[in-house]
Amino acid sequence: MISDEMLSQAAGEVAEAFLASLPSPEECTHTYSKRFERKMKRLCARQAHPVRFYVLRTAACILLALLLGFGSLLAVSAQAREAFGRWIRNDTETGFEVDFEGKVGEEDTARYHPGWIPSEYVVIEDSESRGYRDILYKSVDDLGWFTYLSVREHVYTGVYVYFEDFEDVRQQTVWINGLEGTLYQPADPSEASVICWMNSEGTTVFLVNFAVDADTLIRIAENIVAE
Amino acid sequence: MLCYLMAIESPADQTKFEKIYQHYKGLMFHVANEILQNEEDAEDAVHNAFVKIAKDISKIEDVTSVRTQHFILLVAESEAIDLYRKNHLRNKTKYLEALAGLIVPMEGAPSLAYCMGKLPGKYREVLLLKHYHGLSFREIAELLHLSQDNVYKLHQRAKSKLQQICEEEGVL
Repeated sequence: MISDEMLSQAAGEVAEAFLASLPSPEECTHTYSKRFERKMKRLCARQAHPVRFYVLRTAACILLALLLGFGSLLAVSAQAREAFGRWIRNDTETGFEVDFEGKVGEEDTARYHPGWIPSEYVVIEDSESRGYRDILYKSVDDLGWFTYLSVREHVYTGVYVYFEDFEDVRQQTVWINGLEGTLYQPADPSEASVICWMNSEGTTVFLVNFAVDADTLIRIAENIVAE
Repeated sequence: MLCYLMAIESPADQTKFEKIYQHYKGLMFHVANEILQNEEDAEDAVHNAFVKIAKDISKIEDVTSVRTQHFILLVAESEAIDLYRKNHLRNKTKYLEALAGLIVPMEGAPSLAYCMGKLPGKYREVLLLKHYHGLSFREIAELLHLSQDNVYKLHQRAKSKLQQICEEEGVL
Protein backbone atom coordinates (compact mmCIF):
# COMPACT_ATOMS: atom_id res chain seq x y z
CA MET A 1 0.00 0.00 0.00
CA ILE A 2 1.42 3.37 -1.04
CA SER A 3 0.71 6.07 1.54
CA ASP A 4 0.10 9.76 0.79
CA GLU A 5 3.40 10.61 2.49
CA MET A 6 5.29 8.27 0.20
CA LEU A 7 3.49 9.76 -2.81
CA SER A 8 4.38 13.30 -1.75
CA GLN A 9 8.06 12.46 -1.35
CA ALA A 10 8.22 10.59 -4.65
CA ALA A 11 6.32 13.36 -6.45
CA GLY A 12 8.91 15.88 -5.27
CA GLU A 13 11.72 13.71 -6.62
CA VAL A 14 9.96 13.30 -9.97
CA ALA A 15 9.37 17.06 -10.22
CA GLU A 16 13.07 17.73 -9.61
CA ALA A 17 14.11 15.10 -12.16
CA PHE A 18 11.68 16.57 -14.68
CA LEU A 19 13.14 20.05 -14.29
CA ALA A 20 16.70 18.75 -14.35
CA SER A 21 16.05 17.10 -17.71
CA LEU A 22 15.11 20.43 -19.32
CA PRO A 23 17.33 23.24 -20.56
CA SER A 24 17.38 26.45 -18.51
CA PRO A 25 14.90 29.21 -19.47
CA GLU A 26 17.82 31.29 -20.78
CA GLU A 27 18.76 28.56 -23.26
CA CYS A 28 15.29 28.50 -24.84
CA THR A 29 15.10 31.38 -27.27
CA HIS A 30 12.21 30.62 -29.56
CA THR A 31 10.98 33.61 -31.56
CA TYR A 32 7.24 33.57 -31.31
CA SER A 33 4.99 34.43 -34.21
CA LYS A 34 3.29 37.84 -34.40
CA ARG A 35 -0.06 36.16 -33.97
CA PHE A 36 1.06 34.67 -30.67
CA GLU A 37 2.59 37.94 -29.48
CA ARG A 38 -0.65 39.78 -30.25
CA LYS A 39 -2.70 37.30 -28.26
CA MET A 40 -0.28 37.44 -25.36
CA LYS A 41 -0.21 41.23 -25.41
CA ARG A 42 -3.95 41.25 -24.93
CA LEU A 43 -3.72 38.70 -22.15
CA CYS A 44 -0.92 40.59 -20.41
CA ALA A 45 -2.85 43.85 -20.69
CA ARG A 46 -5.83 42.25 -19.14
CA GLN A 47 -3.75 40.89 -16.28
CA ALA A 48 -1.96 44.18 -15.78
CA HIS A 49 -5.12 46.28 -15.73
CA PRO A 50 -7.93 44.14 -14.33
CA VAL A 51 -9.61 47.22 -12.91
CA ARG A 52 -9.70 48.86 -16.34
CA PHE A 53 -11.42 45.80 -17.81
CA TYR A 54 -13.75 45.69 -14.86
CA VAL A 55 -14.67 49.35 -15.30
CA LEU A 56 -15.15 48.95 -19.03
CA ARG A 57 -17.45 46.01 -18.53
CA THR A 58 -19.39 47.85 -15.86
CA ALA A 59 -19.65 50.86 -18.15
CA ALA A 60 -20.97 48.65 -20.91
CA CYS A 61 -23.62 47.30 -18.54
CA ILE A 62 -24.64 50.80 -17.55
CA LEU A 63 -24.78 51.97 -21.15
CA LEU A 64 -26.91 49.02 -22.12
CA ALA A 65 -29.26 49.70 -19.26
CA LEU A 66 -29.56 53.35 -20.28
CA LEU A 67 -30.20 52.41 -23.87
CA LEU A 68 -32.98 50.17 -22.74
CA GLY A 69 -34.61 53.09 -21.03
CA PHE A 70 -34.14 52.13 -17.43
CA GLY A 71 -31.79 54.94 -16.53
CA SER A 72 -34.00 56.68 -14.01
CA LEU A 73 -34.98 53.40 -12.46
CA LEU A 74 -31.37 52.45 -12.04
CA ALA A 75 -30.65 55.65 -10.17
CA VAL A 76 -33.20 55.29 -7.43
CA SER A 77 -34.54 51.80 -7.00
CA ALA A 78 -33.53 48.63 -5.27
CA GLN A 79 -33.56 46.87 -8.61
CA ALA A 80 -30.87 49.27 -9.74
CA ARG A 81 -28.59 48.07 -6.99
CA GLU A 82 -29.34 44.51 -7.99
CA ALA A 83 -28.43 45.32 -11.61
CA PHE A 84 -24.99 46.34 -10.44
CA GLY A 85 -24.10 43.24 -8.57
CA ARG A 86 -25.59 39.86 -9.33
CA TRP A 87 -24.54 36.46 -10.49
CA ILE A 88 -25.78 35.91 -14.02
CA ARG A 89 -26.22 32.44 -15.47
CA ASN A 90 -25.96 31.93 -19.20
CA ASP A 91 -26.22 28.76 -21.23
CA THR A 92 -23.42 28.02 -23.67
CA GLU A 93 -23.19 25.41 -26.40
CA THR A 94 -21.76 22.85 -24.00
CA GLY A 95 -23.20 23.77 -20.64
CA PHE A 96 -23.66 26.94 -18.66
CA GLU A 97 -21.55 29.56 -17.01
CA VAL A 98 -22.19 31.80 -14.07
CA ASP A 99 -20.47 35.17 -13.93
CA PHE A 100 -20.74 38.06 -11.54
CA GLU A 101 -21.80 41.21 -13.34
CA GLY A 102 -21.75 44.70 -11.92
CA LYS A 103 -19.87 46.11 -8.98
CA VAL A 104 -19.59 44.38 -5.66
CA GLY A 105 -22.07 45.68 -3.14
CA GLU A 106 -22.65 44.10 0.21
CA GLU A 107 -20.64 40.92 0.48
CA ASP A 108 -22.17 37.65 1.60
CA THR A 109 -19.67 36.44 4.18
CA ALA A 110 -21.67 33.44 5.39
CA ARG A 111 -20.25 29.94 4.95
CA TYR A 112 -22.55 27.21 3.71
CA HIS A 113 -22.68 23.45 3.76
CA PRO A 114 -25.28 20.77 2.99
CA GLY A 115 -27.32 19.91 6.07
CA TRP A 116 -28.50 16.69 4.51
CA ILE A 117 -26.88 14.33 2.04
CA PRO A 118 -28.01 10.77 1.15
CA SER A 119 -26.42 8.46 3.71
CA GLU A 120 -24.40 6.53 1.12
CA TYR A 121 -22.24 9.59 0.43
CA VAL A 122 -19.20 10.52 2.50
CA VAL A 123 -17.04 13.63 2.29
CA ILE A 124 -13.71 12.96 0.60
CA GLU A 125 -12.54 16.53 0.07
CA ASP A 126 -13.52 19.93 1.43
CA SER A 127 -11.67 22.88 -0.05
CA GLU A 128 -12.39 26.51 0.63
CA SER A 129 -10.82 29.82 -0.30
CA ARG A 130 -11.54 33.29 -1.64
CA GLY A 131 -15.28 33.20 -1.23
CA TYR A 132 -15.96 29.72 -2.44
CA ARG A 133 -16.27 26.29 -0.98
CA ASP A 134 -16.23 23.00 -2.73
CA ILE A 135 -17.19 19.78 -0.98
CA LEU A 136 -16.67 16.52 -2.83
CA TYR A 137 -18.62 13.41 -1.82
CA LYS A 138 -18.23 9.76 -2.75
CA SER A 139 -20.61 6.82 -2.66
CA VAL A 140 -19.89 3.28 -3.82
CA ASP A 141 -20.38 4.12 -7.48
CA ASP A 142 -20.76 7.88 -7.72
CA LEU A 143 -19.16 11.18 -6.91
CA GLY A 144 -21.15 14.27 -6.00
CA TRP A 145 -20.30 17.80 -5.04
CA PHE A 146 -21.63 20.97 -3.52
CA THR A 147 -20.17 24.34 -4.41
CA TYR A 148 -21.00 27.89 -3.55
CA LEU A 149 -19.38 31.11 -4.74
CA SER A 150 -19.70 34.43 -2.95
CA VAL A 151 -18.32 37.46 -4.67
CA ARG A 152 -15.62 39.39 -2.83
CA GLU A 153 -14.21 42.85 -3.39
CA HIS A 154 -11.15 42.63 -5.65
CA VAL A 155 -11.77 38.96 -6.30
CA TYR A 156 -13.70 37.99 -9.33
CA THR A 157 -14.63 34.37 -9.77
CA GLY A 158 -16.97 32.57 -12.08
CA VAL A 159 -17.98 29.00 -12.65
CA TYR A 160 -18.40 27.00 -15.81
CA VAL A 161 -20.32 23.73 -15.94
CA TYR A 162 -19.80 21.48 -18.89
CA PHE A 163 -21.88 18.48 -19.96
CA GLU A 164 -20.67 15.74 -22.27
CA ASP A 165 -23.79 16.05 -24.38
CA PHE A 166 -25.60 19.26 -23.53
CA GLU A 167 -28.21 18.80 -26.28
CA ASP A 168 -29.64 15.87 -24.33
CA VAL A 169 -29.76 17.72 -21.02
CA ARG A 170 -33.26 18.64 -19.92
CA GLN A 171 -33.68 21.96 -18.13
CA GLN A 172 -36.39 22.63 -15.62
CA THR A 173 -37.19 25.47 -13.25
CA VAL A 174 -37.20 24.39 -9.63
CA TRP A 175 -37.78 26.27 -6.39
CA ILE A 176 -35.30 26.02 -3.56
CA ASN A 177 -36.84 27.42 -0.37
CA GLY A 178 -38.64 30.06 -2.43
CA LEU A 179 -35.64 30.85 -4.65
CA GLU A 180 -35.80 30.09 -8.34
CA GLY A 181 -33.21 27.68 -9.65
CA THR A 182 -32.56 25.53 -12.69
CA LEU A 183 -32.29 21.77 -12.69
CA TYR A 184 -30.11 20.28 -15.42
CA GLN A 185 -30.88 16.62 -15.99
CA PRO A 186 -28.82 14.59 -18.48
CA ALA A 187 -30.72 11.92 -20.43
CA ASP A 188 -28.50 9.22 -18.96
CA PRO A 189 -29.73 8.74 -15.35
CA SER A 190 -26.32 7.50 -14.27
CA GLU A 191 -24.87 10.89 -15.14
CA ALA A 192 -25.05 13.55 -12.47
CA SER A 193 -27.76 16.22 -12.47
CA VAL A 194 -27.10 19.77 -11.38
CA ILE A 195 -29.16 22.44 -9.68
CA CYS A 196 -27.94 26.01 -9.87
CA TRP A 197 -29.58 28.77 -7.85
CA MET A 198 -28.72 32.04 -6.14
CA ASN A 199 -29.54 33.73 -2.86
CA SER A 200 -32.17 36.47 -2.92
CA GLU A 201 -29.54 39.23 -3.16
CA GLY A 202 -27.78 37.51 -6.05
CA THR A 203 -24.46 37.66 -4.21
CA THR A 204 -23.99 33.94 -3.75
CA VAL A 205 -24.52 31.17 -6.26
CA PHE A 206 -25.01 27.55 -5.22
CA LEU A 207 -24.53 24.37 -7.21
CA VAL A 208 -25.25 20.78 -6.26
CA ASN A 209 -24.23 17.90 -8.49
CA PHE A 210 -25.19 14.30 -7.73
CA ALA A 211 -26.33 11.29 -9.77
CA VAL A 212 -29.64 11.06 -7.91
CA ASP A 213 -33.26 11.64 -8.88
CA ALA A 214 -34.66 15.17 -9.05
CA ASP A 215 -36.53 15.02 -5.73
CA THR A 216 -33.43 13.90 -3.88
CA LEU A 217 -31.31 16.56 -5.51
CA ILE A 218 -33.88 19.23 -4.61
CA ARG A 219 -33.89 17.94 -1.03
CA ILE A 220 -30.11 18.31 -0.89
CA ALA A 221 -30.42 21.84 -2.23
CA GLU A 222 -33.19 22.78 0.21
CA ASN A 223 -31.03 21.68 3.12
CA ILE A 224 -28.06 23.92 2.42
CA VAL A 225 -27.45 25.73 5.69
CA ALA A 226 -25.51 28.87 6.54
CA GLU A 227 -22.88 28.54 9.27
CA MET B 1 -19.40 16.88 -16.69
CA LEU B 2 -16.75 19.46 -16.19
CA CYS B 3 -16.98 22.30 -13.75
CA TYR B 4 -14.24 24.73 -13.03
CA LEU B 5 -13.61 28.13 -11.58
CA MET B 6 -12.68 30.90 -13.94
CA ALA B 7 -10.92 34.23 -14.08
CA ILE B 8 -9.68 35.26 -10.70
CA GLU B 9 -8.26 38.74 -10.92
CA SER B 10 -6.54 40.66 -8.18
CA PRO B 11 -4.64 43.95 -8.31
CA ALA B 12 -1.89 42.32 -6.26
CA ASP B 13 -1.10 40.04 -9.20
CA GLN B 14 -0.74 42.74 -11.82
CA THR B 15 2.93 42.37 -12.72
CA LYS B 16 3.48 38.78 -11.67
CA PHE B 17 1.92 37.45 -14.83
CA GLU B 18 4.18 39.60 -17.00
CA LYS B 19 7.24 38.30 -15.16
CA ILE B 20 6.13 34.72 -15.60
CA TYR B 21 5.52 35.32 -19.26
CA GLN B 22 8.95 36.78 -19.88
CA HIS B 23 10.79 34.20 -17.79
CA TYR B 24 9.11 31.00 -18.96
CA LYS B 25 7.79 31.55 -22.48
CA GLY B 26 10.86 30.00 -24.12
CA LEU B 27 10.97 26.96 -21.89
CA MET B 28 7.22 26.42 -22.22
CA PHE B 29 7.58 26.41 -25.96
CA HIS B 30 10.37 23.84 -25.67
CA VAL B 31 8.14 21.54 -23.58
CA ALA B 32 5.11 21.93 -25.84
CA ASN B 33 7.09 21.47 -29.02
CA GLU B 34 8.74 18.29 -27.70
CA ILE B 35 5.27 16.75 -27.55
CA LEU B 36 3.60 18.33 -30.57
CA GLN B 37 6.57 18.58 -32.94
CA ASN B 38 4.83 21.50 -34.62
CA GLU B 39 5.72 25.11 -33.87
CA GLU B 40 2.30 26.58 -34.58
CA ASP B 41 0.55 24.01 -32.41
CA ALA B 42 3.16 24.48 -29.70
CA GLU B 43 2.48 28.22 -29.65
CA ASP B 44 -1.24 27.54 -29.32
CA ALA B 45 -0.56 25.16 -26.43
CA VAL B 46 1.64 27.76 -24.72
CA HIS B 47 -1.03 30.41 -25.15
CA ASN B 48 -3.66 28.09 -23.67
CA ALA B 49 -1.29 27.38 -20.80
CA PHE B 50 -0.88 31.10 -20.12
CA VAL B 51 -4.65 31.54 -20.08
CA LYS B 52 -4.80 28.82 -17.40
CA ILE B 53 -1.94 30.36 -15.47
CA ALA B 54 -3.65 33.76 -15.61
CA LYS B 55 -6.66 32.25 -13.91
CA ASP B 56 -4.50 30.73 -11.19
CA ILE B 57 -2.06 33.61 -10.86
CA SER B 58 -2.95 34.34 -7.25
CA LYS B 59 -1.83 30.84 -6.26
CA ILE B 60 1.68 31.54 -7.46
CA GLU B 61 3.92 33.20 -4.89
CA ASP B 62 7.57 33.09 -5.92
CA VAL B 63 7.85 33.39 -9.71
CA THR B 64 11.20 31.62 -9.96
CA SER B 65 10.81 28.94 -7.30
CA VAL B 66 11.26 25.29 -8.27
CA ARG B 67 7.64 24.58 -7.43
CA THR B 68 6.40 27.43 -9.62
CA GLN B 69 8.68 26.40 -12.46
CA HIS B 70 7.41 22.86 -12.29
CA PHE B 71 3.79 23.97 -12.09
CA ILE B 72 4.09 26.22 -15.12
CA LEU B 73 5.82 23.60 -17.22
CA LEU B 74 3.35 20.96 -16.13
CA VAL B 75 0.51 23.17 -17.34
CA ALA B 76 2.31 23.63 -20.66
CA GLU B 77 2.83 19.87 -20.96
CA SER B 78 -0.81 19.21 -20.14
CA GLU B 79 -2.01 21.70 -22.75
CA ALA B 80 0.28 20.16 -25.34
CA ILE B 81 -1.04 16.68 -24.59
CA ASP B 82 -4.61 17.97 -24.87
CA LEU B 83 -3.87 19.58 -28.21
CA TYR B 84 -2.17 16.44 -29.44
CA ARG B 85 -5.26 14.47 -28.44
CA LYS B 86 -7.56 16.87 -30.26
CA ASN B 87 -5.43 16.59 -33.35
CA HIS B 88 -4.95 12.85 -33.33
CA LEU B 89 -7.45 11.02 -31.18
CA ARG B 90 -11.18 11.13 -30.82
CA ASN B 91 -11.61 8.85 -27.88
CA LYS B 92 -10.99 10.74 -24.64
CA THR B 93 -10.50 7.66 -22.52
CA LYS B 94 -8.01 6.20 -24.92
CA TYR B 95 -5.83 9.27 -24.84
CA LEU B 96 -5.61 9.22 -21.08
CA GLU B 97 -4.07 5.78 -21.24
CA ALA B 98 -2.05 6.23 -24.37
CA LEU B 99 -0.22 9.52 -24.20
CA ALA B 100 2.98 9.55 -22.26
CA GLY B 101 3.87 13.22 -22.27
CA LEU B 102 7.52 14.05 -21.69
CA ILE B 103 9.85 11.32 -20.52
CA VAL B 104 11.15 11.89 -17.01
CA PRO B 105 14.65 10.38 -16.77
CA MET B 106 14.91 8.83 -13.30
CA GLU B 107 18.38 7.64 -12.38
CA GLY B 108 19.55 5.14 -9.79
CA ALA B 109 17.97 2.00 -8.43
CA PRO B 110 14.23 1.52 -8.92
CA SER B 111 12.27 3.43 -6.29
CA LEU B 112 8.76 4.79 -5.92
CA ALA B 113 9.86 7.99 -7.67
CA TYR B 114 11.50 5.94 -10.43
CA CYS B 115 8.21 4.09 -10.99
CA MET B 116 6.21 7.32 -10.88
CA GLY B 117 8.45 8.71 -13.59
CA LYS B 118 7.44 5.80 -15.82
CA LEU B 119 3.73 6.60 -15.60
CA PRO B 120 1.87 7.98 -18.63
CA GLY B 121 1.75 11.78 -18.67
CA LYS B 122 -1.77 12.33 -17.37
CA TYR B 123 -1.31 9.83 -14.54
CA ARG B 124 1.95 11.44 -13.53
CA GLU B 125 0.43 14.92 -13.80
CA VAL B 126 -2.50 14.17 -11.55
CA LEU B 127 -0.25 12.63 -8.89
CA LEU B 128 2.14 15.56 -8.99
CA LEU B 129 -0.64 18.14 -8.91
CA LYS B 130 -2.24 16.39 -5.96
CA HIS B 131 0.79 15.33 -3.94
CA TYR B 132 3.48 17.85 -4.91
CA HIS B 133 1.47 21.00 -5.57
CA GLY B 134 -1.27 20.15 -3.08
CA LEU B 135 -4.19 20.99 -5.38
CA SER B 136 -7.71 19.79 -4.70
CA PHE B 137 -9.56 17.58 -7.16
CA ARG B 138 -11.54 20.65 -8.19
CA GLU B 139 -8.41 22.62 -8.96
CA ILE B 140 -6.92 19.71 -10.88
CA ALA B 141 -10.15 19.36 -12.86
CA GLU B 142 -9.90 23.00 -13.82
CA LEU B 143 -6.33 22.63 -15.00
CA LEU B 144 -6.75 19.38 -16.91
CA HIS B 145 -10.10 20.17 -18.54
CA LEU B 146 -11.71 17.21 -16.83
CA SER B 147 -14.64 16.77 -14.51
CA GLN B 148 -13.97 16.31 -10.82
CA ASP B 149 -15.36 12.81 -11.11
CA ASN B 150 -12.90 11.97 -13.84
CA VAL B 151 -10.00 13.49 -11.94
CA TYR B 152 -10.84 11.39 -8.92
CA LYS B 153 -11.04 8.25 -11.04
CA LEU B 154 -7.86 9.23 -12.87
CA HIS B 155 -6.11 9.62 -9.52
CA GLN B 156 -7.30 6.18 -8.45
CA ARG B 157 -6.12 4.64 -11.72
CA ALA B 158 -2.79 6.41 -11.46
CA LYS B 159 -2.23 4.94 -8.01
CA SER B 160 -3.21 1.47 -9.23
CA LYS B 161 -0.89 1.75 -12.20
CA LEU B 162 1.91 2.98 -9.95
CA GLN B 163 1.36 0.03 -7.63
CA GLN B 164 1.55 -2.32 -10.62
CA ILE B 165 4.80 -0.78 -11.89
CA CYS B 166 6.28 -0.94 -8.40
CA GLU B 167 5.45 -4.62 -8.12
CA GLU B 168 6.95 -5.32 -11.54
CA GLU B 169 10.11 -3.44 -10.55
CA GLY B 170 10.27 -5.16 -7.19
CA VAL B 171 9.98 -1.88 -5.32
CA LEU B 172 7.09 -2.85 -3.04
